[in-house]
Amino acid sequence: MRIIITQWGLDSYLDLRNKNVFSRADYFADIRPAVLLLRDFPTHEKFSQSGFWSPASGIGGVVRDGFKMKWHNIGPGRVQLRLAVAMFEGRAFLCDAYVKSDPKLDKRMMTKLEARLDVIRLDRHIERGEL
Amino acid sequence: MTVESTTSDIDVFEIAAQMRWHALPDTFIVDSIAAARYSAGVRGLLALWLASEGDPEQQQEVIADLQEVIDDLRRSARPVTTVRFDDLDAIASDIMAFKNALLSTLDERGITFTELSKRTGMPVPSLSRFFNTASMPQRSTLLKIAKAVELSAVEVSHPWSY
Repeated sequence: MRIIITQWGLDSYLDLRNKNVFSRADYFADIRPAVLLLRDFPTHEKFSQSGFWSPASGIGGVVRDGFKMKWHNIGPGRVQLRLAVAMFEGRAFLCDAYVKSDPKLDKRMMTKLEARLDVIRLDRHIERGEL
Repeated sequence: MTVESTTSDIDVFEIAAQMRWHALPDTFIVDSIAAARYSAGVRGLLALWLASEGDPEQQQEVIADLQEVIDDLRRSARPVTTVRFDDLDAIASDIMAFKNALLSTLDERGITFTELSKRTGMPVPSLSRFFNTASMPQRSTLLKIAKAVELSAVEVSHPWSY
């Protein structure tokens, strides 16, 4: 599985780092290794753990091809970090990352992921590299 | 009105009428309706906006989300520049410094977000998100702001705009 860094993912990183949600050390110790597991999707055992990985669910229910990766108590604020991932044609697109502060934010971001998937399917997204 | 997940065309138009009542820019409403024809996700966001009636903060975030998707769907050219990981923290700081300087220019001219929204057709929540996050600025957004406040394209240029 190829792991694509989208503009949305890059913007999320820039903003979360600028707000010091997590440190570079957190990124290398916890975030990057978890994301790299996508290379072994779906066989790696972590993808069957709901505390690590789950289907996206927006206002309309389950979002086709949409998932989220989860980190618990990360960074100096010990926050709940989420990464929206779109799986499409053998590629994993890293989309928005955000701090899950409440369930309604999560619902909104997953609904937004459905729109991101539409943009990807229409090939209007921006790719900034691969992990 | 109950809005189901599979928002129909009629629902979309009813939501558009609600948005007009909320004094959102006409340009934004028209663009949202157009985007809804291409994107089930946009229809979902419209449904979420309506379902969030009584929660202004959530509605504003959804408006900003919609504007992002509209901009994505409209984009014709895409950058191919890759970014070095070790540069990212400096890039984030540089982007925020650039946006803060632009915001200071608006303040000096007495231009509020509400006034800027009227001049650009961009919803206030989108402007707020633009100035308060370290995301790379879209050139189309910068040019709208430049035109609205009579700045030159050079004055709003930034190496990481796209």
